[in-house]
Amino acid sequence: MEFMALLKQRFEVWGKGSLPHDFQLRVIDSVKPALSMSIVIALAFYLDLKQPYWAAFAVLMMSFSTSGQAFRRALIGIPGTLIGGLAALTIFSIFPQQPIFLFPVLILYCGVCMYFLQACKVNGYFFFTISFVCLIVITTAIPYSNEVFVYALARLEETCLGMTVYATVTLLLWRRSAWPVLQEKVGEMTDLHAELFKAQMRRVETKSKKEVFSLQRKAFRQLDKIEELVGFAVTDSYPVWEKRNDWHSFIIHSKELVRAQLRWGWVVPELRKGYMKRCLPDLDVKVRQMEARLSALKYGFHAEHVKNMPEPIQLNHDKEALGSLPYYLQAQVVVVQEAFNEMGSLVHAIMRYHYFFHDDSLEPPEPFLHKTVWEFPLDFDYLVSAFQSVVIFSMAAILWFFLYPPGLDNAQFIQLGGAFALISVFVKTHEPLRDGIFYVSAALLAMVVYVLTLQHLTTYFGLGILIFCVTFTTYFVLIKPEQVLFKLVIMLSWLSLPKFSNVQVYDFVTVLNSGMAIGLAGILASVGLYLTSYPIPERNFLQTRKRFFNSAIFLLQIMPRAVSGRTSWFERIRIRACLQNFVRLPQTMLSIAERMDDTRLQISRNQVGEVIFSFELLGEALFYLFKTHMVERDVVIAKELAALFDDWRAAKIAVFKEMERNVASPEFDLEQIQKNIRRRLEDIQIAIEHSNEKAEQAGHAFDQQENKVLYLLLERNRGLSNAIVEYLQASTSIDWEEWAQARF
Amino acid sequence: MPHELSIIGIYFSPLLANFALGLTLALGTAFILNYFRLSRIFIYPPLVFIALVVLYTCLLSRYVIPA
Repeated sequence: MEFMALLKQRFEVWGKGSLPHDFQLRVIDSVKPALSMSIVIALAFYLDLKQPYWAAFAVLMMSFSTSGQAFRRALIGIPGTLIGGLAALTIFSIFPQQPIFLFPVLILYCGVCMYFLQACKVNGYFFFTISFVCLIVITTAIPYSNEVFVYALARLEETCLGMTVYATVTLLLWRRSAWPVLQEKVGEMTDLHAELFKAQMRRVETKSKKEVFSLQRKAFRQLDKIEELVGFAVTDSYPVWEKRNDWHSFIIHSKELVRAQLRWGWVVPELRKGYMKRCLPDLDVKVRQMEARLSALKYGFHAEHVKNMPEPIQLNHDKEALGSLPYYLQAQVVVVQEAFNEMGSLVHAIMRYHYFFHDDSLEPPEPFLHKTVWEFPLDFDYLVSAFQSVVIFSMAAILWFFLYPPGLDNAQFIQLGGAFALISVFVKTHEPLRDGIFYVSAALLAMVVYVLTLQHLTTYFGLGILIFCVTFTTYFVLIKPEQVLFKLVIMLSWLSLPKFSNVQVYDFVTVLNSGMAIGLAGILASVGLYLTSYPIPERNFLQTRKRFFNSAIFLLQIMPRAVSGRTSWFERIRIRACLQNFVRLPQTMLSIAERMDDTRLQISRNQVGEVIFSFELLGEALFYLFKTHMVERDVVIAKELAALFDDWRAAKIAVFKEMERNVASPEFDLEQIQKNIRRRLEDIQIAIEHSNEKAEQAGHAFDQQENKVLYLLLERNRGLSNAIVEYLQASTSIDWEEWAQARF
Repeated sequence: MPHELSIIGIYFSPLLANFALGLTLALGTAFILNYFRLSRIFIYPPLVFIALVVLYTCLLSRYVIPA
């Protein structure tokens, strides 16, 4: 017994940091695919299907822990296989005898699919299936071109078989719905909202951003997880399916609340000022109410809370006190008030969603934010990854076409090269050279297992037991996130090497040939990926930083033309991409920062975190500056005032250009910049007052709305300048020149 | 005269062995260059790495395990 306890402890220590850390869950998660593999191969033998191991591939691709994930994959995988088969038939029928056209078309098709695989977070697997099936069918049919239809049909049959068997096994044995996991994650998310608000309010006294940054990072990660889980829970949980639109709306509100909290954090330091307290007399009361509301959410008292306080928490200003302030301070008060009220409305909407999700008798809540129209995802990173996959696939095709690499006489090498090219996007590891070792080790391991076991088997029962044991061991041992690729390649090699069939032929030379093809194609894929991606995190960070600045420069330069509507179609697309970049790039930086070696760079994670936080502030500031400018298009601005705004914009462009050009943070005099900001604020304030006076004398005075827009414009410009100062302060702690040094 | 390597009765191309050795040597060289911070003199190290693999493979094919 002691030995068993010790063994169990050893396994738990090995699995630390992985998802199914619990010993029992690990056993269950390993038994399910192992059992499904054995059953599916038995059924494929019984039905005498053409390539029985294809059915096992379908199980391999579906093997995830909750039943919702499996159902979702089955739901999108089966139509995906059908469409992939049709695509294969179409492409192959057009170029049956012209490999010089066939492969470029196939590679291009796979590249496009890889772009969408990354762009669609929940249904990306569909694009993986349509490209993978097309590749497998075409490359399998290369020596027997008249059988392409038979292979496409066999693939469809076996995928359906594999997916049905796995879905049935997950449904019948130890069913784990995504619904409780989703509930748990939503609970954690509400905790984070409450903690984030408290941390922002603590900043009034402490000014420290560290805590806020780590909470915000957690919140964004959690939101992505929840979005994915809702997609899975919709397929295995009726309560979620019934309210799916409300769940999606809830996610939109939660995302916006994290951003609203960021904007709130931006104005929190202003709350210390006396005029703010005079103009917003009920600020303290409302902040306490907000804290109480978020705590009620956290502890699940939302029903009582909504009944007691059915309206959103809104902040009102004292008109007299506000009127006595200069206009630019009025604008600051309005910005604080708007930031708080936006947050209040979002918290209220989220609370109503919580209440609605727990009580079926209620009417669906009215959303505060309406669902945005689907936008084509424009992301340079997706394009780069798809391009890398195209390069790897092309290298395999060229090598196969002009040389004679190992592999069977059909297009086995190109099939493997293509499959690894697709897998490099499906499972991103960012360590291509280590991946090469994984590919070679997986091929070796599969060959050893084959030699030691398979040729000694004489019964189907023995084969079933062997498949079960190999699958179970692989799933049980390799559970860490960084071992996903190794697990996938071991299973792929193990399933494809023996070519299981009813009339089994044991040919060591064939197996060795295939094994070498796997190893060589794997090395080719990893070298190709290393060559095109150059995965040094510091360099990647600098590239992302440069892209951010580039987007900022473009947006600031195009702003006057965008306001007047004189932009071309391409420029409008680029503006949209820039606006998406301001949200996406800080998140990319976060994922890059996690790959950095802190000890080598001699820098703490918090210091990098502060820089990323300042990028988030910059992104928000740029986004809102652009938005306010677009509102301003209806307001006539005096020439003198417009010139001052233009001058400020030009100064900002110059700073961004300098930061983009210089790898190391250029030596800016922060005090001088802050002085300049104050001077510009005063000049613009005077110019606004002058234009007000002139307009009054001319008999068409500005109304309150027009004045508000002018001062908001002033406030947004100030916000961006302050965000630049924040970035410059945060970036001084990093030795950018050291980061820019090349290394292997 | 072209010949092949025989390992446990299976014939391999000498290029394969040279490539494997060349890859290992290139990895070693990259490690040493990184350790002595000499890699900073290259603009794009991945290309240098590939060049090293090709160079070692060619040298080994010429002098150590000739084809």
